[in-house]
Amino acid sequence: MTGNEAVYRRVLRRETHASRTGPAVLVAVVLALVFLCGIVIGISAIVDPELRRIGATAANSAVTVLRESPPWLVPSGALLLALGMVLIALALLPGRRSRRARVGPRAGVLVDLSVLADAVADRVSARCGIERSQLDVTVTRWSTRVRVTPTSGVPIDESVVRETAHESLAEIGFATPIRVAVERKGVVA
Amino acid sequence: MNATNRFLNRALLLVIGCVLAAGGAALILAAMRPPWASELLGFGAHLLRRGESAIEGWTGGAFLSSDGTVPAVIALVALLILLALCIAFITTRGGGRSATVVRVDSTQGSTQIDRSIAEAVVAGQLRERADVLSASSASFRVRRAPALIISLRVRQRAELPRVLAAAERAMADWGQLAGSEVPIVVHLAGRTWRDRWRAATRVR
Repeated sequence: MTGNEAVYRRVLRRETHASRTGPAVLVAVVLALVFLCGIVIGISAIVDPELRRIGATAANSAVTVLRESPPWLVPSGALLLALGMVLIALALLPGRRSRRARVGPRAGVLVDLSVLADAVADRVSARCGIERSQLDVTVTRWSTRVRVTPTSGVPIDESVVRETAHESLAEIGFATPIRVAVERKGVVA
Repeated sequence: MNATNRFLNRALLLVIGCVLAAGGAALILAAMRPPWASELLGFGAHLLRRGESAIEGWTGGAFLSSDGTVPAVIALVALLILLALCIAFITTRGGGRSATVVRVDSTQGSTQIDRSIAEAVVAGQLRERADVLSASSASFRVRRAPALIISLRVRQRAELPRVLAAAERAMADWGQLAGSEVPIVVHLAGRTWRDRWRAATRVR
């Protein structure tokens, strides 16, 4: 098992973090198209001297226009800056996925947070006699929140709800602190 | 799960992000022209002029005094190299899947166990359960060794401890059959929008 721990850690880390392949491939495709256009223009410029002269004139005109600060300059700059910040954020942020993972005695276990939330809600509904539609469970990496909308006139024992939720997660090795919130307004049975 | 080099993904996003952000900031500064930006732009122009003089010095005056052919050829070669790198980057995403899960070499030959056997033994066993909507397996090479990922989608109100216990039994059966320990990851995946329309119980 110890020999495989490094493999489990690598696999589970990759499965719980976004790969950023989608945005990276999109950027690479756009860059490839830009480079391809540049190559076509470059070959044309080498073959045709007139095109080189037109290119030089266009470059000088562009510099002149930029010096006059046209109204579209700031919005264009802001758009580029925003796009750049988005790409930088994608690169630097960890991109954690909605999953939790652990290494078990026989295998690595990876569970989507929605599956954990459903399991908690189902167990609390069955044990505490609360309709499934009156339960709202949110599971994060660090905690679990159970929000209960009670039936009017039927008291809710928060400690039982908390204990049941904790048990359902602990049984599969993903125990977290549980917060229970009971809505002040109930629903009519 | 695949063998994509994620560091390269993020490095590309970071470099292009910085280039776009710098370009956008430069356009905004060029438009608004605050006093400190004028000094910065002046310094930038001074650096460009020094760069031009240095290149002229190295090439003996042949670079910029030509009719533009030399810079065009150099730019063309650079663009070709960059285009090739982009294509190489795109085509090397993904991959890492392996058809062989176990390979045992001996003096008399080698024995390989295909992924489909693991699929039948582990995923097939779990797929038969009433509380499992679907089960599939995939094998990858991780640190030059095979690893299996078993993905399960469970029905509504399925007891996760029972599903995990069944998965462990299936993995024990696989371990006895394969005769060697292959790292296995069990993934309990959430239901898709299509699964939400399925019944909570399975009728045979």
